[in-house]
Amino acid sequence: MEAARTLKANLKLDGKPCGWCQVALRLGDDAAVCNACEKEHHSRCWEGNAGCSTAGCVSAPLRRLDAPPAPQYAAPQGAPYVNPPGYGAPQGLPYGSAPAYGAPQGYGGPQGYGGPQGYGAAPPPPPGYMNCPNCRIAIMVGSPVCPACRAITSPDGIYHGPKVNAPGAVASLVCALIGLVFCGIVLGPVAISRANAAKRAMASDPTLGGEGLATAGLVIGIIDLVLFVLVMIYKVSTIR
Amino acid sequence: MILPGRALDLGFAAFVAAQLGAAAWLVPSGDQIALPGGGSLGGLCWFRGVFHIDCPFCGMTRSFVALAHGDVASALRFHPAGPLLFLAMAVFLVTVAATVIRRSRPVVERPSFVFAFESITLICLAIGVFKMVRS
Repeated sequence: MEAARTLKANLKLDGKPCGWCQVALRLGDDAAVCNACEKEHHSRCWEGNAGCSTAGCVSAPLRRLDAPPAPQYAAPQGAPYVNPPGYGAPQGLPYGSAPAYGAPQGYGGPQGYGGPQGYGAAPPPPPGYMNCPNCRIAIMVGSPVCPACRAITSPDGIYHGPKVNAPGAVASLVCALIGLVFCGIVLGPVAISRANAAKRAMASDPTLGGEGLATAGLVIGIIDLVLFVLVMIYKVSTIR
Repeated sequence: MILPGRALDLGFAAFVAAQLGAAAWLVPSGDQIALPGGGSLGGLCWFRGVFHIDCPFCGMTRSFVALAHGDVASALRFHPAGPLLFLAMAVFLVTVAATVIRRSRPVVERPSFVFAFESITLICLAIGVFKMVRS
């Protein structure tokens, strides 16, 4: 399946800012709408940046590991390392905040991680850690997903770790099944909206699963509504 | 396949509008509901038709019709949760109209609104189950 829908910008897209260049789309422009997060872009921006602009979106481009070094950043000694803008990390996230992931003693200490090395080349991670290919913060070796930006860290770009059901996937199926028995007009929409929310969550977080449950909830929810309408039509058509 | 929030909003709003419109169009006829021409609609619940017991939402259509005709006491008698669901549907309809006009975030993508609507649905279901068990 394509990661984006390419189309000429219509009235719905007219005036909306491109996710990459922030220039408003105009009627008739070549546009690309991300299928995962529905963010609008110019087609050329989508292709030029190789994906979606939304941080954490599954269609966001992977960061180049061989990115050219940026100008030397001479941070004062002792200042915490701050990820540079454009690296996709949360702005202003100090490198010293990483100990939340269980960094060893001395990490982010008085010496800091920035300074003389500059930030063009990612600072060497402490033992047992590696740099996230997307936002470049230090994460534990073997982490399938970066805890900060949710980017997949495996070399093949495919998530291989365990998955948990997306919130709402099971609930949508339960609502849809109950709706088959009674009151599909109320439970059907609940099932559909729940399934849709679960699918959105799955699209933005690779650790979430339950695609089949959500799809079943969506389809059965639609069947609930259709059955309700059919029963109504049948009842009205057989009035004595 | 992820459905666009706006399309879902409009689809649900169409169903709700049809439901409320039908409630206003139909007329109460004692403990039944009838077409404006006089033909009785009879029981609409297939669950009751098959199992011969009320489902938790039995009486909801009669409650809606009574409410649409201003008879709150009968509405509460047919289904105690009818007025609550009727009000929730009306609020949903107005909110969808407001979001469409303002071009703001679709209602189905707002966690607070979805939570409120699901809570009301659960309350209605609980009241319905209580009513079913009691009868």
